[in-house]
Amino acid sequence: MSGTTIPAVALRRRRRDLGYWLDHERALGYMLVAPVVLLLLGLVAYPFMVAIGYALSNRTLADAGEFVGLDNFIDLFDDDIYLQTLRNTFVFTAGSVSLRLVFGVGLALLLNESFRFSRLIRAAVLLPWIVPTVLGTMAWLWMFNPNFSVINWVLVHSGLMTEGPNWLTDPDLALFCVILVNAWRGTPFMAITVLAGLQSIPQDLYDASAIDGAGKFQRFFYVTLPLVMPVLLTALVLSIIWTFSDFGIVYGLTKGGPMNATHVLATLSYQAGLAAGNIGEGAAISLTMLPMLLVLIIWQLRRIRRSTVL
Amino acid sequence: MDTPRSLTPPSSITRRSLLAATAAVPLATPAIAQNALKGTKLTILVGQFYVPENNAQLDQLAVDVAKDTGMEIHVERLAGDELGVKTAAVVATGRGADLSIGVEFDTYLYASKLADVTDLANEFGKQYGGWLDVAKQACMVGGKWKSLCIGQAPAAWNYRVDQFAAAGINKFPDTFDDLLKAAKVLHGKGTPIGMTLGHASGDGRSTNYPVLWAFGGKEFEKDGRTVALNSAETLRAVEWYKEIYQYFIPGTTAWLDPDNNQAFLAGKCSATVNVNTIYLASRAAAPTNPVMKNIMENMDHGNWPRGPAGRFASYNINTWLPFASSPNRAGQMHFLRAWFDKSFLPKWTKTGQSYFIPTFAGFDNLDVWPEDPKLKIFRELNKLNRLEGYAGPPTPSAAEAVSKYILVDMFAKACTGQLKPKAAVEWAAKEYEQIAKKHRA
Amino acid sequence: MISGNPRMERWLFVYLPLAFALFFLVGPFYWMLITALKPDGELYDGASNPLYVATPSLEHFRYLFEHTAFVTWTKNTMMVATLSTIIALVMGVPAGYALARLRFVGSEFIGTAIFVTYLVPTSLLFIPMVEVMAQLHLDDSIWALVVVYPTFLVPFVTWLMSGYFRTIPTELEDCARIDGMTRLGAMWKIAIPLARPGILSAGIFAFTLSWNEFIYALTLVTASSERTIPVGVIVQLTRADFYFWGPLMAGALLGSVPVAIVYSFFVDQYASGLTAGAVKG
Repeated sequence: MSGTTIPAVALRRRRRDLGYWLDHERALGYMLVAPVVLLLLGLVAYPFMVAIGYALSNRTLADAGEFVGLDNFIDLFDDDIYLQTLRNTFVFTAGSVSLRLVFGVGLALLLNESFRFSRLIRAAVLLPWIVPTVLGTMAWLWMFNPNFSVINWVLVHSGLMTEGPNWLTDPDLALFCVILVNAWRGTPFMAITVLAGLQSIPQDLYDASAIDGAGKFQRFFYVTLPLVMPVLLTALVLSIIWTFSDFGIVYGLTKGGPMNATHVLATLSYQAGLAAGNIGEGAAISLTMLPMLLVLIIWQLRRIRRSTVL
Repeated sequence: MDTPRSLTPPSSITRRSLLAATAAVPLATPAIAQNALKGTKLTILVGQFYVPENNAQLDQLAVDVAKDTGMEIHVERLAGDELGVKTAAVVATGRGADLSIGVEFDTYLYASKLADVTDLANEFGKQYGGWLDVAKQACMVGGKWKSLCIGQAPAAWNYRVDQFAAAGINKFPDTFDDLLKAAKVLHGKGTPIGMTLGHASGDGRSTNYPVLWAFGGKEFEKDGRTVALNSAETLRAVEWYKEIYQYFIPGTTAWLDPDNNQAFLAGKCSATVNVNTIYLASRAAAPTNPVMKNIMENMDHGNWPRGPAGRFASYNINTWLPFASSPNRAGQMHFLRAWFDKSFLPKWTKTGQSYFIPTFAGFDNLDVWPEDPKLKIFRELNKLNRLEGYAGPPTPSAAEAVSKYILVDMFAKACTGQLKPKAAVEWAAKEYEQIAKKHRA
Repeated sequence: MISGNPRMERWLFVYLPLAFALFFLVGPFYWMLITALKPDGELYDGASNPLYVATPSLEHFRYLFEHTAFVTWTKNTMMVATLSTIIALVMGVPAGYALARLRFVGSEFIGTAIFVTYLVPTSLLFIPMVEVMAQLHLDDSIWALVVVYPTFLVPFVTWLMSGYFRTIPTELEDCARIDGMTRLGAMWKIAIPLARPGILSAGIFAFTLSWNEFIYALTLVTASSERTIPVGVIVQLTRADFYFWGPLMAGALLGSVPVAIVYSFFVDQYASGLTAGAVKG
């Protein structure tokens, strides 16, 4: 940890006035996190407990239902559609996050170079992230349209294919499409976050490594990467969370079809909880995301902590 | 507070409001109604009716009722799927609206949160020569009316008369066998047909349930609890579908609600199952757009073909959902009366060009039918449909099967070869069993 | 090191990949623009070139302004996003600092707990949230969104900032502390200015998350005068089985391009090598 106490300062201050507390590591720590904790206790923890109650009941939209213990969860693991959705969600997340990572880090390195119109280009690459998800997804829906696909028009007219692929029809291709659109949407976040990390690397370190005779690739792996690692890992974790619980893109493009090939947990939860009205089941589906994400987060947090000791 | 009588307890609402709430002609109610509702609020959630004037008429009705009663009325308009989400939130929390427009199963799913409107339903039924059976099925739960049917949007076969004629077919096929033959010929001519096999909330249903029924397949037994899907009849329906699918325009398993419209309007698809919005869109654009004019002139609507078990259809139905949580029950009733009044509903229906047709037997004799010969068929179609869940009543199980697209996916899995027809039927039957088991518990 | 022509190298390793990235990321916006500028007659004509507009027209943009409340939606979205971002930064930046720099009992647990709240999916929370907002008498107003959005923005900002503070060397703060500055002072005067690029990006991203949010904006607000852009455009421009592609795409463009232009100024600011030479003491 970096916040090491400096004994001289600690000894100098004896009076316990506000200044003392503002300087007291533990007290200040609690003071700074308290507002956040209070907000989340009030506005997340309470509705969350209510939602857990739903998941343990056979509640529907109209009827409070009764406590059924873990029945909802037991039923889920006996349900082919749920199991297929679970598999889809992992493929979706792994695929999209890998694409974001590769595109995002690559783009950050590119944007870190100096070239003309760089401001314009930096603004332009942010667009997919800014455009409201539902509207951006509509544009892709229009581009993947089974009968009006502009992508296919290009493929056919450039002579690459005689007939374009049916993007959202073929189960595997449809899953690829939702992954691609999710990566499209998420890449700017990854890129800009990593770019901010790159910008804060002191030039001295590069100068020093240059004196030591390090090449470009060595510099990337021994200087750049370790220094942006905490930011990169944070962005990675956020990307995983967003993708794992993403709703809008699948809902907008395929509604989970064809034949449930693109259903992810959030869309299935919506379908069960709202469209079919089984709030209990819907809540249970959403809740199963938590332990999986939790394992991942704790593991990543450890890595973030460790990476700071570099 | 289950019956309209008891919803006006003397403590909170005066005798005057009782009179107001039961008065037959809302727009002409005397001053007593004004006093009772003055200053109350009414929030109404509505969707987008396809014909824009229908939306404007609804808005105007709200303005008129507000003026007449002194009630503050808010009409909040949302698109279909979003309306469903918002309605669900109102049902779950009892807040946000007094009235909403629901779809066919909402009455069943939300019954315990809806006010009893049996008296109103009887009154309106009498006024228009009786409700059609489908309205009773959609709106009555446990012998009580829990919603009031606004109407249904009949789906028909939209087809290109010119392309059919070019393929030597001069009349829309009358049997499933003929439809199959026609599809094959049309495919050979480069003008394929297409039926929606994707997760489309409207067309997915209206396209695929009729196929099951035409071959005699059914989801449930009469009790609505016993799954009856796995049958020789269902298998025949699936096999027929698998055969015709090879002659479809590519992409139908990804079709959402707008896709068949777009394909048809672009001249890429010679026939599909849809409400009359394709025709209405082409007709509206025809004066300025020669492509659309061509579509309009060369298309027509055909009835569903007859299968071994008969001729059936499935439509989208809309209902007024009166939330029991509403603090303004008198206002609710008042607005519903205004809606079903003879001075409003027939006029509204006529404006709608048979896109949306109220479900009263007496409408057959009213002047509500469009003059356009290509829209004539919808008058008959209005009597053809069944609700999902057949042979049982509409139940939460049937609703869940619809929202999970089980039947659509059963056909799609077989058509695309992902499963053999028999395996697809078995897969779907297993899903149905799981759903039914949950609701039996 | 790759030897050879440095200009060639720059084309191969910078411009070419950049062009590819731009094509992938910005291409769909070209498509939106084309769609928004095409009159309906051309839009559904299978024979016309989809990548080109023969007779550009502003009819779809006009429709957006004359027949929908797009201006009101923009104002609402702006207000909600700005206020909730400010709240999120004011709460999240100091908390992120504390979790990264200060040692206190339970900090790891608190940090984890904050992040865990971020994992709770909206699809699980929104129904109970409608009730909570009603109890706070905030139902049916955009203020509900100003209160709710920080629930997912704050954990996000906290997390991002704690990661960011860890990338900043501690030497400067240590020096300041030796010179007699309090911890709070060191945070305020040294660490936060140093973290400006991180704060800017956290702010930008928090703003964007609220700008985009759909489910809460749909369920917590009923009145059409209180809608945000994503909800307004979707519910107004899709009708039954018919999508108004032109105005939809016009709305998508107007809902993103102005914000991107504003961002470009910030991006420029934090990309200007602020921290170079910071660690010299």
